[in-house]
Amino acid sequence: MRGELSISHKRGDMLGLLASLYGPNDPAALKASALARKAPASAKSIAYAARHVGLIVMASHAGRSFTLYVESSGGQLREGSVKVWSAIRDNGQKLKPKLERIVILDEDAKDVLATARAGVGGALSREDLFVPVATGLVTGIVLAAAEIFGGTSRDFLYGSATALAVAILSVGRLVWTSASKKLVWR
Amino acid sequence: MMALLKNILQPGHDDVVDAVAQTLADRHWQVDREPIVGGNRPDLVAHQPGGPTYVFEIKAGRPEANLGAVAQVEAYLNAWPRDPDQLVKGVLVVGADAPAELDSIADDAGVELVRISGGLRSLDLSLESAGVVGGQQTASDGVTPSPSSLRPAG
Repeated sequence: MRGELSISHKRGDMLGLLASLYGPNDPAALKASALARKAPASAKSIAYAARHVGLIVMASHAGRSFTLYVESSGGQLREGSVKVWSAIRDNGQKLKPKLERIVILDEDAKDVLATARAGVGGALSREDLFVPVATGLVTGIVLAAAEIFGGTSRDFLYGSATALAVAILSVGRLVWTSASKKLVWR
Repeated sequence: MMALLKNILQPGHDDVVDAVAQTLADRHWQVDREPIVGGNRPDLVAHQPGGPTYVFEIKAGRPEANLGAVAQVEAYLNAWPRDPDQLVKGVLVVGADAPAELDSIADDAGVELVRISGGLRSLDLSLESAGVVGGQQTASDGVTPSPSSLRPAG
């Protein structure tokens, strides 16, 4: 089981940041990882590996897009993965890192256990926010069209008000979730 | 929003698995879905009579495939039960937007990378250009395929 963090950054040296957080690249850490034990040839392309309080943190990159692989020897993989992201976000502000997603997966069971995203995309991926926002949007479009073509009645307006009000509240929640940098898990 | 739209428009994992299985079955391959082999459960295991066995893992769609996906296929090959007479090849099917760096990682790991660049309609072509189907070299031909992509079982 491991966590996979997809992170992009705009400038700077992500490997340098990882080294400052978790120490220099440690080939012994790579050898201890389940990924390298099961797939040693693929593991040769891993650019960085280190051990840090019960975690093995590994990184591969394509340009400025990094994938961090986090394995845990003492459980709490999700918490460990979130801590890794928090450390990068808080200590690497100059790099302007952006978390695309965290995926917790069990490869043996071929199961994605949880996925987290940050920002508006993450918040919008929640069904409890997406559905009211989409409903409000459609209602607004229908209302605007009815207004243009002269089909609005008082009942029609009252009927639409609930959808619009819930959409506004949901957008507020969406903005708050995004601004708080909170990860949204699914 | 673009990512969301892209996600909606891309074929899902199961759609791609179905399409690959159908493409191979149409060519009279024997196809097993999610068999348990060597303690693993690849998406598809397929072979043409007299040809090598192909182990397929499908990672089309979001999130796009990464080194971990190549490692997964390599792990399947490494855990495959030993049989010197059986040639086993690993195939990773990914979306067109998978990082270019995956090609060299897959090559090093002895995994065939198939990119679905024109949607499921061109899957046949993608499998052909990767050398998986059509004009492929088989064990019975007496021709040895590329050493990086072919290994004895085990």
